[in-house]
Amino acid sequence: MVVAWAAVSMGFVGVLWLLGAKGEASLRPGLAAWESRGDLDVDTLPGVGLLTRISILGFPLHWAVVAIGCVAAFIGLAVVYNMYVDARVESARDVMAPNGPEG
Amino acid sequence: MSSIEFGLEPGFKLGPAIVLALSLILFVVVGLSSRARSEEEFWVAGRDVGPVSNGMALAANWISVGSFLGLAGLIYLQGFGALAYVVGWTGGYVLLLVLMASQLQRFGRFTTADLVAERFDSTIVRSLTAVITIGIAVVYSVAQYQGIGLVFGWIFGLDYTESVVLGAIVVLGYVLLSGMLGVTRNQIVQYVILAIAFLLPLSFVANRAGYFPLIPQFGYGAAIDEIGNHPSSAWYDPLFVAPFAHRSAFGWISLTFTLMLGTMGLPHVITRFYTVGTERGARWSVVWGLLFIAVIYWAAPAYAAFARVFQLGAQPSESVADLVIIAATQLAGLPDWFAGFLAAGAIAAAFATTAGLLSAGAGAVSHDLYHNVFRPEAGPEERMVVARVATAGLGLVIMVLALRRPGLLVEVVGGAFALAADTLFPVIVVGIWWRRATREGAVAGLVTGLTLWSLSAWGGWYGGVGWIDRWLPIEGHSLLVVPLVFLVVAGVSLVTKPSADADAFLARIHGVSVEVRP
Repeated sequence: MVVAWAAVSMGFVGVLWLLGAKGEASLRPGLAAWESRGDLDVDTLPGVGLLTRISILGFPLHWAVVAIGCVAAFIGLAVVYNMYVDARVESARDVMAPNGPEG
Repeated sequence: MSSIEFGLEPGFKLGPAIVLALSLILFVVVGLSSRARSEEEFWVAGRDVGPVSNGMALAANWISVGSFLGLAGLIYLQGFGALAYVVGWTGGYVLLLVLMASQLQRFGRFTTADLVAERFDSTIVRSLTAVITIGIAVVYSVAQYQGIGLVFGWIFGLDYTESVVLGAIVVLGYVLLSGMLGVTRNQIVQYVILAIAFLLPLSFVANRAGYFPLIPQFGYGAAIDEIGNHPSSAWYDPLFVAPFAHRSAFGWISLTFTLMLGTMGLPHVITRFYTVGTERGARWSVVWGLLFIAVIYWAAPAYAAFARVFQLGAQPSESVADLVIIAATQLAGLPDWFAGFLAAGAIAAAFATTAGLLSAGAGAVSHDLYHNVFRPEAGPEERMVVARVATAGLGLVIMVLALRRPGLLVEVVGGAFALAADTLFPVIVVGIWWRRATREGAVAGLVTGLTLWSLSAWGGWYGGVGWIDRWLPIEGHSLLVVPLVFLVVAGVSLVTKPSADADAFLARIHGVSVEVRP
């Protein structure tokens, strides 16, 4: 479960980095960067690559996976884990019952 | 671009004020009708809250003004770089479910410090944990007061200082009157208000922007595509969509990691697992909580994208970022009451979270420090008085700090997560899962985490010191600090004597019967 959690949380972003262009990031790009945005070579921007060019439901794939898919996957993982624990608890209760599983 | 150009007109607004006043009256009525009458009701709502209700309260507790206003604001500024918050603020719940939810419910006391103090049989651990809990409550609440100030200021045409003071008085009065039972009931009402308030205007904004209005949280893909890939569009900005243009891959993962681990150390989240009656209920309330949180988090990026579309190529501005969802409704030309609805939702979010945080902080003062450390003979009534005085005192401290506006809403909230991740998370995890962990190890871990976080906070909010900014940025340093704290706890524990009661404690919280070693 923890491995699945790690894969959902960080795996996709790791792959995005591996397959994408490398470059400098800036949390607060200034006015000059804003005004020259039309001249940027998109293919050289950090992280742009195969996974950002694929489109799904109108979204670039990487946006859809991170903004929507990861959260849905977390909910799915939580449901699966709870169902697994419920099943384990139920079977342990059956075993501990006085007349065995049928009792 | 000024806030007026971006749709945020100054002056008093009657429609939004009426919507806000009605929702505040509703909170007070619900709070008063379910007022706490005993200590157990005050702290843990009588321990009889069901999983769906608890999930809703968990979500309301969680969706602070940072999520409601700040998340869309930061995505509006940074695009993909800010989606780390979406993943970080949801993924932690999966770990919380697997590592802690059942154990916390079985433990069933009042506060976070109760857990670690009993596990490590130590007053020093209790005191340190209580101080850290108070620190988290204060830092986190500062962002809530900031948000309340921004919204009150926009609605009533007040300046920032006046609106923060007004908001502080209202939220304090509400928490002092109701206590945790009122808080839990109110959080359910608040979740309903904030979810409707957030989602309903979004459909109308999407419609006005010309995008799919029925499920806009999944239908804004065309807007993202135009922003990122269409140079001919007026709102073209490839840096918004490029994955690591605003935040490096390391910074992204590091921030996500910090937020996820911080989730598991937040006292007002932990307390919610003491309010559920059964272990199964505690587990399933995580699923419900995540679902209710996701409903909001799926929608926040859509607001950010539509705000980019409506501003028609003007440079995104930090000065409007924290109110960008309100500005989006104004720019879309929607009637004022839509913005009023959003403002009421933002206030509901701020109230729910602040109430939970103030309860957790007051619990640390009254229950952990006053009763368990300084005055064990204090009776329930005396402790309740101390809790109420502590709530008022904390509220005043938070108000003073909020007046300084230390950063964007999300950045301040991120600081609280980092504090929880650096200190409480490692100690709680080893306390629950490693029988060899000792009280000396726990103290060393808490002190190490607190010291490194303090350095980071000082550098980030006051100092501007180069090496601290580089290696210990206030949001996102836990990827380095948490492993170090684990190493310190493990190292010190291995050279000190384990507690004789550890096995019995672990057997109780894991729900197993074991033979206690002599």
